[in-house]
Amino acid sequence: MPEAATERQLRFGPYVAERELGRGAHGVVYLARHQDRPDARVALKVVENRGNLDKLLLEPEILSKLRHPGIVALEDYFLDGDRLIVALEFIAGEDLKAYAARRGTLPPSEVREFLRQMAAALAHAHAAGVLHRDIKLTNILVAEQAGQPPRFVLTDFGISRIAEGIQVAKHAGGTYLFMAPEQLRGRPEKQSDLWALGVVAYVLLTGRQPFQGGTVAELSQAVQFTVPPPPASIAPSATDEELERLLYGLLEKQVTARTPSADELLKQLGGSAFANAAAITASPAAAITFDERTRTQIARHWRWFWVSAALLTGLYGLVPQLLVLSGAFLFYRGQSATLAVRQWLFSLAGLALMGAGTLVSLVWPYVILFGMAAVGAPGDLAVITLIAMTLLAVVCGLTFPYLAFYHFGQAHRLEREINLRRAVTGSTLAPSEFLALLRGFLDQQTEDVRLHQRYVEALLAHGHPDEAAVEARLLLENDPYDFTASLQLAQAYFDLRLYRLCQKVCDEYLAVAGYSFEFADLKQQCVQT
Amino acid sequence: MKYDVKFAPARAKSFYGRGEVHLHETGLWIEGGYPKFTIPFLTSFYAPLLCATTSRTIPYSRVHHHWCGSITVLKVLVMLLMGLLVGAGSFLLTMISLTGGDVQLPLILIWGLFVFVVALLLLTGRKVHIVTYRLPSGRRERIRFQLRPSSRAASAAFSKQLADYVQAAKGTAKPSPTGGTHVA
Repeated sequence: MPEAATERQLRFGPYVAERELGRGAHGVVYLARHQDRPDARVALKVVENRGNLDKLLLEPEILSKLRHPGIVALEDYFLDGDRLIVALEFIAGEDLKAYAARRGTLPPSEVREFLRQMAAALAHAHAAGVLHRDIKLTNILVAEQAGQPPRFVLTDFGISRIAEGIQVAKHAGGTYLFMAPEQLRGRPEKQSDLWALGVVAYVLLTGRQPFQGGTVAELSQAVQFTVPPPPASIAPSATDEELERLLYGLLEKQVTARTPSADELLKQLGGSAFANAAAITASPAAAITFDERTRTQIARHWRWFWVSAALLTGLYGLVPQLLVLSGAFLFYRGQSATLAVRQWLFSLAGLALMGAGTLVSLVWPYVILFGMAAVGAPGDLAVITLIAMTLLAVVCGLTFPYLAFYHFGQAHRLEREINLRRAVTGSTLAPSEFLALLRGFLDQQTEDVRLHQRYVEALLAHGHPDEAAVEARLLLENDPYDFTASLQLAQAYFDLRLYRLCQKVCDEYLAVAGYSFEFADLKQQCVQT
Repeated sequence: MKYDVKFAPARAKSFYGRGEVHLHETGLWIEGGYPKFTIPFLTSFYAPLLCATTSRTIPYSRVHHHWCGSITVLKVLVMLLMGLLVGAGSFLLTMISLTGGDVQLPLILIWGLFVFVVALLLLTGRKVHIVTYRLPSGRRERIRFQLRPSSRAASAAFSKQLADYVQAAKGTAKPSPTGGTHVA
């Protein structure tokens, strides 16, 4: 306890300081009481005005828009001479860094509770248009409550900003270890806060930073191109497949692939924040793994696809429709084949089968009529049978195609999900194996841009800029304006020391976007080099 | 900002089914099913079989036009017109049948078409967003989609944010040599 505070009572407006809580580069924080309300304690932040009053006022201004149990509450703020005094809610506890150091790694259930509370707080802040931009262990306070899960509170909105249209200038600020790739490039978004939250959760779960580097450049390289190892491979106690999936969702490098919002994260965590103690102690880990569960779902969808496909035509056109379906399947395989011979062979066989099926379907009613006449059935019965079967075929034809297509689509979607997931968790493999794994997935899903981008990312991370350049160009053939692919191509050229080409890519993108400082920076580096 | 959408393809080579549209600072990013190849008249019906998940990026500076609106009035007009045509056709065919002509097949065809068009109109009812943009080659592309869940507020928010981004981008980007950018 500083002597100055104990010897004489410091007064700031109506507040009387009791003791110093902490000291930073910009000011001092005291535990204080209001002279008229001695029971109410506040954390009094005293900041010296060094000619940057506008910036200093930003934090209380932002906090005044927010009111949430997961965000430190603003009680009051005013100018006292040359100092800005901000009275904040006093949280009796410690910061998350000290809490984690004391507790060691946290169990998955507690990390889930932490994520749930923080997601709710961020959802509130983001809804008010506020981006925190500096979420880290020391900016989160923990208040332990008897018989309740601890309360996590977000503090220090010092470098926050209000989201406002397109950023045409770089926004510096933040802590490198917790900064998302786009924030490192100077363009923080709401999802950058989710990335930082993912980093904090990863540290709590494993006791290790997901991205490391001796220098800022190395750290930046790690953040932009490497995938952190699965938490379970670092700390066996951190085994929770579902939580791991959530974390990788938060630590997706592409904003488009990352968990889209704090609301969505809250939904994925299954409900509202500040659950009761029962919620935290109940282990959410399922008996079977996420992959197994997904595979079961895929198998179920395929089963229903085949059932629906079989029922598609009813009894009426089973034979012709089976021919058409088989033909369609062969044609599909042919079109997806990479070898030209196979492509032609399968496509022609498929078309032939589809044609045969159509021909058979045309003569099928006559076959039935002739068959019935041959066995001596009355003419009326033949007509009634034909009408009944036609109606059945119409009903089945209207219902089952949609079911079949739905299950087909779902099975494919889940298969893609598994591939994307393995493209992340496979990062623990040897680089060559990991690249081969990604290449394999890509061969199956050639059009999948996310997978392709991840492959280029891995190539860049593992020192194959030449291949990365080729793949990025292929990506750009499909999607000529792809921001990530353009940046990856420029980066690959830069790594290959092809500065003119790098500059050309940057110029092309800048001509299109105009305001992209990511490309402007890289171009500048090319010019300097 | 991510929006879940349902694509409303107007031509064979277009996005199909459900997907996502992201309004990012760097551009409009669209993900969904895109046909690997097209079969005339059948692509839309067999879309889930023929499509693979892929994405397209549209820089705001290359957005040529954005239109958002409901086609309710148009739908009512089309339905009325169809009703009139079918009524007139049926009347004509009945007259022909009285003179001994065989009109069974034309009648079935006419009513089948009517049911199909009405069902189609009833199935498509939300506000449609149409974004027209230019490729580097100068070719104009169009993407049509409906926001899901659809609400007037979400639709207005999407339109407003897109308009803001487009305005900001067009102020800074160079005009495309192929005419993609309209700079004030």
